[in-house]
Parts: sequence; structure tokens; C-alpha cells
Amino acid sequence: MSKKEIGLALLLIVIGGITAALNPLFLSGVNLLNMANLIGLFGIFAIGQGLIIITGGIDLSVGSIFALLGVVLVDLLVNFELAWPLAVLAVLGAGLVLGLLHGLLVTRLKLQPFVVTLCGLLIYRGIARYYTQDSTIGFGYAGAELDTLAWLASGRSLGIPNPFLILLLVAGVMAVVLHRTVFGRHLYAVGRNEEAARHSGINTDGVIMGAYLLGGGLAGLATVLLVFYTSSVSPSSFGSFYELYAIAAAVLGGCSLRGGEGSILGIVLGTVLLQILQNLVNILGIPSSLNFAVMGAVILMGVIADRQLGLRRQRIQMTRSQPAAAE
Amino acid sequence: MKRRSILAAPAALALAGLPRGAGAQEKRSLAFVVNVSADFWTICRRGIEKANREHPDFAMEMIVPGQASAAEQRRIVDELLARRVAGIAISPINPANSTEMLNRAAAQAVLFTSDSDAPNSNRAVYIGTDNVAAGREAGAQMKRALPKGGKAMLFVGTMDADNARERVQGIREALQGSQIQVVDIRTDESDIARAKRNVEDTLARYSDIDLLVGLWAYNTPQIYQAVKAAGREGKVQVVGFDEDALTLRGVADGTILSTVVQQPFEFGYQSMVGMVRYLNNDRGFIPASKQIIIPTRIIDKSNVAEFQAQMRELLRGR
Repeated sequence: MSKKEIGLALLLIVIGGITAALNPLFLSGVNLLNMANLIGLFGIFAIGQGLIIITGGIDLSVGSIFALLGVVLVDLLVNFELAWPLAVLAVLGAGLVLGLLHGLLVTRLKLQPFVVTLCGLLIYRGIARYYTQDSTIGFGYAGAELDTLAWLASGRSLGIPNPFLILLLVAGVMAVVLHRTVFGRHLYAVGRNEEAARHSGINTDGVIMGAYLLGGGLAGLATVLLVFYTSSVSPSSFGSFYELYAIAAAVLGGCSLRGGEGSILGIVLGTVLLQILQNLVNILGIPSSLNFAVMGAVILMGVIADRQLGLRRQRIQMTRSQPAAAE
Repeated sequence: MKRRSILAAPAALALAGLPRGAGAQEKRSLAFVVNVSADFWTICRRGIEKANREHPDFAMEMIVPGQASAAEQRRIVDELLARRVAGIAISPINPANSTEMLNRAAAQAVLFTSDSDAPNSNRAVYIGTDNVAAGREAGAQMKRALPKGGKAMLFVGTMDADNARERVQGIREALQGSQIQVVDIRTDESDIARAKRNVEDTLARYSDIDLLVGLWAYNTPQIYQAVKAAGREGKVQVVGFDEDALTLRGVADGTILSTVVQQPFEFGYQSMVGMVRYLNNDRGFIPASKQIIIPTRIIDKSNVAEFQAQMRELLRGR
């Protein structure tokens, strides 16, 4: 655990502690499991977002991808009555294809990630709405043949919500990829200084492409889980703004929007904090209208505290390293 | 305003002469502008289609804004006016502050409001639900659910929407003097996942909550799912609005006591037929109040099967 992650964990404990002191039901099993479920849902695509941010990129299209792949998934399952493993594979594949597309546009055509994914945000949302003729689609009239998939995506194993278990799995794999493989080292290198990375022989285009592919694939996976959380998809609002939750979680977790920094554990902790913030608004009976304001205020405080601590650490390191440099 | 119309007149005359030169009579078009995409409006669309079958000499369409914002709606209306449509029916997103836009439309085309009224504008007539009355209906259902009183929680997308405020007002009116206490109103800003989380959190926080009420179409199905997942069916009563497929399933299996449904099919059908009559100078159907109220219906266990079949028929093949 880096100092950043320890700081975030402390913030989590403080906020959780205050909430629990004000209303002990915050720590009730029901509430914790509900939250674990949501942490799973939002954490998976936050990790994808984090990987992209580490390369110095960004993905604004995540929310619209949910809407587009969501309506495709429901349509395949309900109207085309495709076997669910095929439908899920199709959605995961489509997520990868969209990620690949973003990666190609960023690396081959040298477009800025912000612009590429902003266009994605607009295009996918538009296609989703056109595809459904602007109507909400869902599992309302679907039969029992989806029970297995519904259980996988929204059920519980040994009392633990499956999305949370899936997040643990994804986080574990991605932590190894990011922190224990050459590809992971290259992601940081590209994010810190793409030019320098290229000159030192790293296939920077391939690395960036890999990040967008992973981001797209994880968005596809998150789509399946989100769709089964709500059981219906309204193309104009489904997943709206979710990219910002992912970005907020990544930034809270120590990712720098300039690239080259961040960790999987940090991103997961960032997601946990965001979910706790939304939960405490309901649990403490704070008016719903203040929801976003509470979230924004705490994130801002967290980032300010992190920045101040970081500067202090830097100063301490500077003073320590000076004698070392003199040796 | 006046100066603009004087300036616009010659231009409009010149434009009007252009497309009809070929001799083929262009169909006059009628547009129904809705507020946001929803199943509700798909049913409305079926009503528009029925009206169009009865009046094939008109081109009738439904337009859904990209975002549920007044600005987006204004852009759509401006474009419709530029296209010189003969009539516009609209569900205004922010009626109180859209009077200028609505009056501009009313000056150039027949203007009806539907679903949400703008009484201060020059609209010819409003065709839709009386949401305060719909709220009172829901209040009556709440009393039916809790004859001895209890604690109720309301869920809605945003409280700055008129229909949300009016429904709540109707509910409060109906609950006056009863033992039912409205604990709070939780909003979700139209984020369906948050709508479900609000219900989950409510169930976690209040072990003694007796009644959950969903005010918007997507709220009730999320209440239904959260109550089932928490295993609180029967212990917590549910009253809802609108006719989402999951809502109807919940009514059928008894988790939801009843749902108050509007008749969007009639909104679409009557608005279109009304505009045709209005354009043919038949205005006798407009009452002095300039409001044609289409009553809400209560769907409960007794009539849900029939209603489900009817909805499936309407929504099929979209």
C-alpha cells in the first residue's frame, strides 16, 4: 500500500465511522451487502477507466457504451431470444471492438482521447436511442430462461453479491497485469512520457491500444451487470454521467489525469468512497437534492488533502535526498 | 414580436411558394413533441398512428428530444416552425418559463399541450392528465394499502418537474386527516440505478417503513425489484404510477397493491384528431376551460391480466 492509498483508506474509515456513529444501520449487513453490490458494478468500469487514465488518456464514452450495449443485450435476449452465453459474448466482444476503435483513432490517427471518446459519447447514445426508437426496453415480459444469467449478474454466492465477487476477480487480475507485468510497466512509462517511452523501444501504440481494449472489454462486462441491476434500459438516460463516476473514482484513487500514476487498489478504494458517499446521503436522511453537492465536496477535500500531503512528502524527500546527492 | 412577424412575412410568402411549384399537393404535417424517451410515449405513438390511419391526408410524427431539457425542446419547436408544420402538440418540459416559445409556435401553427399543461400560453387546448387528481387517486390507494395508517416513502426522478410536484400535492391532499405519514421524498435525477439504490437504502434504514410509492414510470419497477430482493414482499406495501411491464407483473403477483395509469394512447390519438378538426375550423370539441382531462385508471389485481394483454398488444413490434 502506498501512502496515497493509506490516506484514502483513512478517509474511508473516518467517513464510515462518522456515518456509523450518526446511524448505526450504516454497518448493518443488509446495507453493507447492498453497497458491496454497487461497488462491484461501478468498480469494474472504473478500473478500465483508470488504466486508460494511466496512459494519459481518458474515456468519456463509458456511459453511452452502457446505453448502446445495454439495449443490444436486452434486444438479443428478449426479442431475438439468443442463448444467453452468446448474447453476453456478443456484448463483451462489442465492448472490445469499441475499445479497439478508440485505440486506433488515438494511436493511428493521432486524435486526442478526449475528442475521440467525446464523439463516442454522442454517437453511441444516439445510436442506442435510434435503435430502440427511444423506448425503454427491459425484461418485463421475459420468461424464466434468463434466470441463470440474472443470477450470475445480480445474484449472490454465499451471501456475497456476485458483482462484488466479479470486481474482486477483475481487480486481482488487473493488479497483476498493471503491477507485475512488462505491459503494466509500459503503461506507466507511456503515461509519464510517451516520447521517451517510444525512444526507449516501447511499442507505445500497442500499449495504448491495449489500455483502450481493456477499458472497452470491462465496459462490456459492466454493461451486463448494470442491465441486470435495473432490469430495464432507457436509452436516453441509462448510464448517463457514469464516466464521471469512473473518472472521479480513479482520480480519488491516486490516478493523475496527466497520466503515469495510479493503482488498482486506489481505484477500488476510490469507488468504495464514492459509493459510501451516495449511501450516507440516504442513510442519514440528507435531502436527495444535496447528493451531488456532498459527493463533490468530499472529493474536493480529499484531493486537496492529498495534494498538500504530497507536497509535504516531496519537501521532506528533497531535504533528505540533498545530502544523499552530495555523496 | 410584432416587428419580427412583419419582417418574416415576405420571406415566409416567398418560401411558401417554392416547394409546391410541382403541383403535387404536399401533405400537411402534424408533430407531437414529447419530453423524454419512455414506454409511455411508445403507447402514445400508437395513438398517433391510429389517428394517422384515419387521416391519411396528414403526415403525423412524434419527436423525442435528445435530452429532457427545455433548451432542446425549444430547438425542436423552432425547427418545426421553420419546416412550417400545420400543428404541434407538445409536452412542455418547463411550461412556466416557455410561454414565449409556446406563443411563437401558437402564432404560426395550431398548438396543443399534452401531458403537461401551460395555461399561461396561447395554446388552443390541453389534452392530458390532471396530475393533482392523479395524486389524489394515488393517495386513496395509499389509504387502501394502510387503512390503519403508517409510514410511507415517496420516490421520484426530480421534484422540479411539475407533474412530480402536482402528484405529491394530490397525495398530500388525499392523506390529510389520515394516519399515514410521508417520511420523505427521495429523488434520483432520472438515474435508474440510483432509483433502485434509493429503495434499497430506504429498506435498510427504516425497518418499520410500511409503504413505498413510485411517482414516475421507472420508479415503481425498481421498488418492486428491491422489495423482492430484500424479501420484504407483503411486509411493505407498494403503490405506483404508470404501466411498466415489471410494475404490472408486481400487481399481478400481489407485491404491488395497485398502480395509477394514465392513458397516453388517448393523448396521442385525441391530440392528433383534435388538431385535424381544429385545422378544419371545427372547434366545438374544446371546452370553455380549454382543458380536456383524460381520466386516470386504477390497475389492481382485479383488472391487471386484461390490461397486461392490452399493453403487450400496443407495444408489440416496435
